[in-house]
Order: sequence, then structure tokens, then C-alpha cells
Amino acid sequence: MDTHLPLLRRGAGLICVGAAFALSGVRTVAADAPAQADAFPTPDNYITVSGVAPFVSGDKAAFDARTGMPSAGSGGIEDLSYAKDLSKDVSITVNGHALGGAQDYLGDLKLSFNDVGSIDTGYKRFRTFYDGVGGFFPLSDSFQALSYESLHVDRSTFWLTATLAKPNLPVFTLGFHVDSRTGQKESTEWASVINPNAVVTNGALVGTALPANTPFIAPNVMNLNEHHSVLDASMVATAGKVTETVKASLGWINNDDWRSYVKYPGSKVIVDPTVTVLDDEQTIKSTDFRLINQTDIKFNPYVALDVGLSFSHQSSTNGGNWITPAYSSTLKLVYTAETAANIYGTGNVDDYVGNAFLKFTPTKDWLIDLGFRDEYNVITSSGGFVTSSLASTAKTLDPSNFTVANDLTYSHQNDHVATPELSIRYMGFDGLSLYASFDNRTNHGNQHWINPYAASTTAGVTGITTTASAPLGSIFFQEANQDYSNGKIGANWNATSQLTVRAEVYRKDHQNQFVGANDIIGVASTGALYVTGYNFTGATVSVIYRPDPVLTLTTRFDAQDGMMSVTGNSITGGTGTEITSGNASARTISEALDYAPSGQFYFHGDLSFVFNYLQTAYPFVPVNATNSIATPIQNANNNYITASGLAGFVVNKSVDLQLQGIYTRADNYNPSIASGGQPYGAGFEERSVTAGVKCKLADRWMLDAKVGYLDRTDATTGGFTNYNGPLAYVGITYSL
Amino acid sequence: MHAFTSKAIRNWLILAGLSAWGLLVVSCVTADRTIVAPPQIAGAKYVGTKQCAECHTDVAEHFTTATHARLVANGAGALDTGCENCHGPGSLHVKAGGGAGTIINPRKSPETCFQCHLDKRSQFNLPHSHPLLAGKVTCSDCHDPHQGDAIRGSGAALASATETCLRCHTQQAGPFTYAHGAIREEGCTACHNPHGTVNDKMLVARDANLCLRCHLATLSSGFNIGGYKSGGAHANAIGSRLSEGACWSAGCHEDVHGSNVNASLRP
Repeated sequence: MDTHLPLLRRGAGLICVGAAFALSGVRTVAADAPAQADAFPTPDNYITVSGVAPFVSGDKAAFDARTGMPSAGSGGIEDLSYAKDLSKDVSITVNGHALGGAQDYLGDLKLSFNDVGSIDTGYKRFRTFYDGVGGFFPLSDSFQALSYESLHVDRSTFWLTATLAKPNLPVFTLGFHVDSRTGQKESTEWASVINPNAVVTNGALVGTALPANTPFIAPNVMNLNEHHSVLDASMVATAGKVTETVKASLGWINNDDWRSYVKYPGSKVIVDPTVTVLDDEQTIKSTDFRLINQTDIKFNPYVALDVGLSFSHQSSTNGGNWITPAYSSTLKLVYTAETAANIYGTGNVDDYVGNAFLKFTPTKDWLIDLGFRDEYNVITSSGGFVTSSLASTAKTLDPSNFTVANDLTYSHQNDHVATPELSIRYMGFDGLSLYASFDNRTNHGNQHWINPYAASTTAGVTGITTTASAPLGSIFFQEANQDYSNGKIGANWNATSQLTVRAEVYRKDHQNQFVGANDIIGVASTGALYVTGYNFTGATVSVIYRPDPVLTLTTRFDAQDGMMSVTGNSITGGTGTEITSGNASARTISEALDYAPSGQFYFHGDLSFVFNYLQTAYPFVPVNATNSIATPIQNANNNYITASGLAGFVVNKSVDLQLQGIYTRADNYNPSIASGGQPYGAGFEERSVTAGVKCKLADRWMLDAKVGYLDRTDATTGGFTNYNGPLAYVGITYSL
Repeated sequence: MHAFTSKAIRNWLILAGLSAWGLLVVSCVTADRTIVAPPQIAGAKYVGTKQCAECHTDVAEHFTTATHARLVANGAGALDTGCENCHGPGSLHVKAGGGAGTIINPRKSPETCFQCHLDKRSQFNLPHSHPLLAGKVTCSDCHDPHQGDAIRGSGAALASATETCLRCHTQQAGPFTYAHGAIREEGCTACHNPHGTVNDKMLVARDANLCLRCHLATLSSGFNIGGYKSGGAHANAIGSRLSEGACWSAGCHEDVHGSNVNASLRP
């Protein structure tokens, strides 16, 4: 569903539900051609009160998540804008909205004092909805949803900023803001269906062996409770040819996030009724301080130098639990094995950055920037926890059968990153701008950790199986030498008043060299094995063609191809050999048409085709009509199509009409591997049509009324999250 | 409210289409005013960047360093390639001595950006994207169109590449005892497309392929991925956990951004 009503409601100039897809670039007015006045200009001061009423059938949680608004409806003050001069030297600006149901609020008050400064304070909050999808099993046509499918996360910000800006004096700013993120969201959306005895050919079950529907991977819920406060101050002073900027900030983070499993009746693990058990919890409390100094010097009209210095320090304490729940298939109980309980630890980051840009403007046609950046950072961390293991000979869950031990790890990482950059632009040809840039980031760093603990977890209680495995003791050392080159070259050509062409080619070439060793205690070491390099080459071409002042065609083509190299293993040519893994290709073809044959009508249409393909070195056998399932992982296809059309009409001197249609489709879902693994690939189809009218009721009164119909089908969830239905919107604007 | 049938939808579309063309015909002969398609300023014309710089000195001074400054060209035919390329024709704004209602503010709506970035319009239309189209975030929350590289943290910029994301996603900032190397490699965009994808969490791949791009072999010889150890958790065999979902799904490498407990990024 793509109606995006909240935005729509704020789009004061639009009639249609779905203002998000309102016009793209109606460049039908020539550069020097004045247009006629709009009958519905946006007033400076106004208030809009509105309401949305969806009448949706199907999965309402999916509707909430996709549209960003509650299926139960919402309403309130959609937009408030007010500005007034309180006196000759003082003005006030107020902006806000308050939409109940959607839990979308904004209040912003700003007082400006001429030649003195300003005070700005406000509060903003909005809600994001999640659908709590757990997974779909095509062989049994069953669907897993979290027990509480309707989830949401609220994000809010409070701010207070004061600025002192007196003439001929430095500008001082002091600010404080608090950001919060609280609520629940799903952390993964799929589960598994595995039964080695089940035979499936081309998506159809053969024989009588039914899939076990064993949720090795269960849906779970993330509970968020995150708070971030920042106190910052800055000063900007200009003296002659030098501008000095100093910024300092002090921040506090207080986060407590945890994750819960949800187990279901009917799964192989018999737990009745549905239970939710804590999986793991991560808490972070940190304090960070940052100081930035920026000096800009204009030596003369041709040469300027910008120098920046930054220092930051972060100190954190960590906590939490990692719990590996185990289930009894006969005892109907949940044994929560605390693999890592009472996590404790600290982390410290010190980061030093300096950069400089030397800017040459030898003539009005040339711009040359030569930059350099140098960074050095040190990260030290220690983490510990208490782990418990059940004795293999234990026959009960009595605490005396558990062995409790402490585990402590020390880690250290430092990086030295140097980045030179060169950027050149030339505008010596009429209507043409040529540019190129290149940077090369090299990183020399090392990382090590020491973890002396080595233990294993076993369980021997009848009926109890546990997958708990405590981390093995290890010693790890690695030296990293990384080289990243990025380059691009492009042109923007205003060929004629009818034709603009833009083109850019870029390449990223990254090489890694890791030298080091690791030793998992009790297991032979194979050294450090990671990605050894990757490169991407891409191009973007845009053509804006205006064959007539009333018609604009915009075409854009984006292409990117790349591959990654990794250290192979024994089945890919032997450990230590370098092979290609991430073989990726992406093409996006987009077209937009804007047509305004008269002042009383306009049309915008756009269409995008996206082809996105990723293949890794993992063994892959393509699925086709004659090929039985032999591999559990498909290549990742992320193809989709989007299209929209929007038309606006003048009906008479006080009424406008707008019609809109939106279509989105992804067709990557393939259930053919259902016997060997979860069928992957996003497959959905969305359609919406809307119609709206905007009426000028009186000099100060405006009415927006819209109706729409939405339809969404989702193959990935087996249709269990489909929804459709009409919705209506009414908004009244009063000019203050 | 009952769901519409496909037949009802078809009929409604036909009716809407006929009505639209009817209104067009009627409007062409009865109305004498303009309807403007946003983002446009009715009645305004282009005046050139120099006019803007007279008041917006601070912005103009640094604009030469901006990515979008590459659009600027010289010549009479390139009058609209500067500030007005995004903010719309500025004559009424200049005439009024400023004011919010006489100029386009791209912060209010992404339509200005979508004029050229057609691909981003498409990405933000996907089910898994930042709520830009719902008006809850703006392009300029992450991109600075007036100064420096539009992708913050690029090249020799003072800021680091991940700062843009970590301002809001503080839980992923760490520091962690065991950090994920992907953050060091490419930052958050190694795995996420922040504009939107067809996959949950804006991931560039929905399943284990995301990880297999880099991780074909692991630290321990016992866990080479892809069949080395038949029957193991990572083996290439029906029944292996690798085929059951993503590597980071529940119970396995859940703490993909970093762990304080386990080198394999288990919680």
C-alpha cells in the first residue's frame, strides 16, 4: 500500500491521497517563462485538521506496517504553521501536528530576536509499525506470526537550542536534546521447515513424509529501550580572512534492549501454550565527548585552506544476559540454560582525526580541491560473564548439577587510516560541467583478543536437549592492511534548453591483507580467513528531454557490477586459495513523464524496473522444471517494479481534482526448495488508486477530501498478510 | 467495509478515467487559473544563483564543495543549474525579500530530490525503507546538499562514514569486545541499503547469501562453510542450519553488529 497518508495530509498543495507520489520534477516551465498564479497558494499561517479512516480487510498488522498508520484510523491536527512579529525586534514561529492513533506529534516553538539570536525548543514523536511475521511454510501451508503480531516502536526527540548572534561578534550556540526509541519490533521474519525424509520435486511433496516443521529458527521480538542525551555548544567567529569554528558535545547513552523467543504449539518442540522466553539482553551505558575545531582561511580569491581537527572519547559499560533456552519434548517445560549470564564489561574508544583541504580556483572555470585525512583510533574492551553448564550425568535440574564458571575476554584494536583525495571540476564550456574525483583510503591496524576460558556444555537429563555451547577459549591476533580506492568521473551537459544529459562512471577497488593467527583452544588453527578484496564498477546516465515546453521526459539508467574475493575452503579449491564469492549485478531503468498541456491540467507518470542479482560461492544448483532440489540456498534476486501516475485538474475557480494510481511488484519468491530449506525471495504485489478533491470553501477555508482503494498480496508469507479495502481522508485548512 | 471485488475495481477505474477526461475537457473551457504540480512556485521565474548568494551568504560560500555543485554550469542556458535547480525559480522569493511560501524547501518534501533521483523514488516506495514518504524523515537528515560530499564521511571528510547512521542507531555503535569486521570494511552500507530494499531491515540480501559474500571459511577448521564438514551446522546438506534461514537468525549469530560475549557474534 502506498498511500502514505501522513505525508499526504501535510502536503497542503495536493489533493490526492498519497502525496508521497506526487509529481516528480515537472520541469515544464521554461527557465525564463513566468507561470500564472496558483489559486491555492500555501498561506503563511494556517491550521489543518484532518482524519483518516481505513476500512481494510485482511491482515491489519501488515497494513499498519506497510502504510505507517493504524488500521483503526487516526486524526487530529495535521499541520499548524504560525509566524508573527511580536514587536519590531521579536518574532515567533510555531509549527506542529498532533495525530492521535498514529501517535505522530510535533511541537516546535522558535523565538527570534533581531541582532541578538534565537531560542528554539520542541518535541517530536512518531510511531513505526511492525507486523510480527514469523515465517511461512509452503509444504504445510502454515504461517507463523508472533503471539502479539501488532508491534510498534516510538521514536521521540526533545530539543532546546539557544543561539547568540550579535553583529560583529562570534556566534554562540548552546543546545540540549534527548532522543528515545522504545517499543517492540520483530527481529527476524522467517523460520524453518526441515525434514530430511520429505521429498519434494519442483515444489510438490512426493510421498507421505510430511515436513517436520521444526522451528530451529524461531521468530523473536526485539524490545527496545534506548535513550540518548546530548549537550552541545559551538562558536563561529570570523576575523578578516579566517573563520574559526569550535564545537564540543557531551553525550550519554542508556540502552537496554532484549530479545525474546516465541515458541508455538504444533511445532516439534511441544510447549503448550505458546511461551515467550528471554533469549538475550544487551545493555549499554556510555558517555562520549567530542571536540571539533575547524579553521577556514581565504588567502585570496584563488586559494583557500580548510583545516579540521577532531578528538572524541567514548567510555561504556556493558551488561546483559545470553540465554539459550532448552525445551523438553515430554516434560512440557522450558529450561533456560544461562549460557552467559550477568554479562559485564567496559569499552573505551579514543579517536583522533585531522583533515585539510587546499582549494584552488585559478580561473572562474576551474575548481581543484586537494584533501588529506588522517585518523588514529584505539578501542579497548573487556567483557565477562557467568556461564553455567549441566553435568552430563545429571538426572535432575537441581542447581547442584550445574557447574558455574566465569569467563573474561580482553580485546584491543587500533587503526591508522590515511586518505588523500583529489577533486577537479571544469566549467569552461558553455552549459557543460566536467568533474572527476579520486580518493585512496589505507588502513593499517591490528586487533587481538585473549579469552582463556574453555568449557563445554552438556546435558543429560532425560527429555532435555540443549544446543547451548559456551564459547571456547581462544587467542587471536590479526594485522590488517587494507587499501580502498574510489574514483569517479562525470559530466553535466545542458546541451540546449530542451536537452540535459548527465553521466558518471565510478569504480571502487578494495584490497585486504590479513596477517595473523588464531588458536581456538583444542582446535587446530587455520589462520584468519576473511574477504580479501572486492571491486565495483558502475555508471549512471540521466537524460532530461523537453521536446515541448509542456512536456518533459526524464530517463535514468543506473548500472553496477561487482565481485568479492574470499579465502576459499576445501570444497572450493583448498583452504587459503582466493575465489570469487559475492558476484553482484544491478540495473535500474527509470522513466518519468511530466505533461502540462495547459494551466488547468498536469500529469506525472514514472516507472522503474530494477534487476538485482547476487550469487555467492556457496554451491548452487539452479531450480528448473526437470531438476530436483539439490541445494538449500538460492541465489539472491531482488528484482522489482514500481510505477505511479498522477493527474491534476482544475474543475472551476474554486475546485481542483486529483487522481492517482500506484503499482509495485516484486516477483522473487520461489518455493521450489521448500524441502531443503526455507523458500526465500521477496514476492508481493501492491496496487492503489485514489481520487481527491480540493475545494476553496471561503477565503480562509479549504477542504481536502480523498478516497482510495488499496490491495496488497504477499507470496512470501503465503498470502497470510494480504489486505485490501478502501480508505477515506478529510482535511480542513483554516488560514490564520 | 467489505473488500472490493476485482470487477468493482475495474468498473471504478473506468468511471474514474472517463470522469478525469471529462473534467479535463470541462476545465479547459471553464477555468481561468493555474494548477501547479509541486515542487513548483506558481508565477516565479529563474533569477540565477548570484541573487540567492546576496542573502544566503553562508550557504553560497561553501556550496562549491558540495556534490550538487557539479550541476552548476556557465552560460545563459544554465541559469537554473544552481540553487534554483532544487529550490525552484526564485523571483517571487527575491521580490518578497524572503519568506517560506515563495520558495521550495526540499526539507518539506522529497519530491525535489526525486526529480533527478528516480531510482531513489523507487527504493523508498518499497515495503522496507526509511519512512521518508510518510514524512517522518527527510533526505537532508542524512545528506547535506549544501556542503561537502552528499554522502557524509566520504573521501577526506572529517566525519566517518558510519556517523550518519549511528546518530540514531546508537545501540549498534558499540564499542564491542568482538566487533564485526564489515563495519570496518564498508560501514553500515555493506549490508543495508538505507533507501530501501525488498528485504526486511533494508538488507541487500534476504538470506545467508548476505554473509556468504565474505564468509566462506571461518576461524576454525571445523566450520568451513559450504560442505567441508558434512552434517555440521554450516554444511551443504539438506538439514543443515545454513539452509534454514539467515545466519543471524535466532539462536545463531544474532549480534551481527558486535558482541561482548562471543567471537562468532553470538549474543
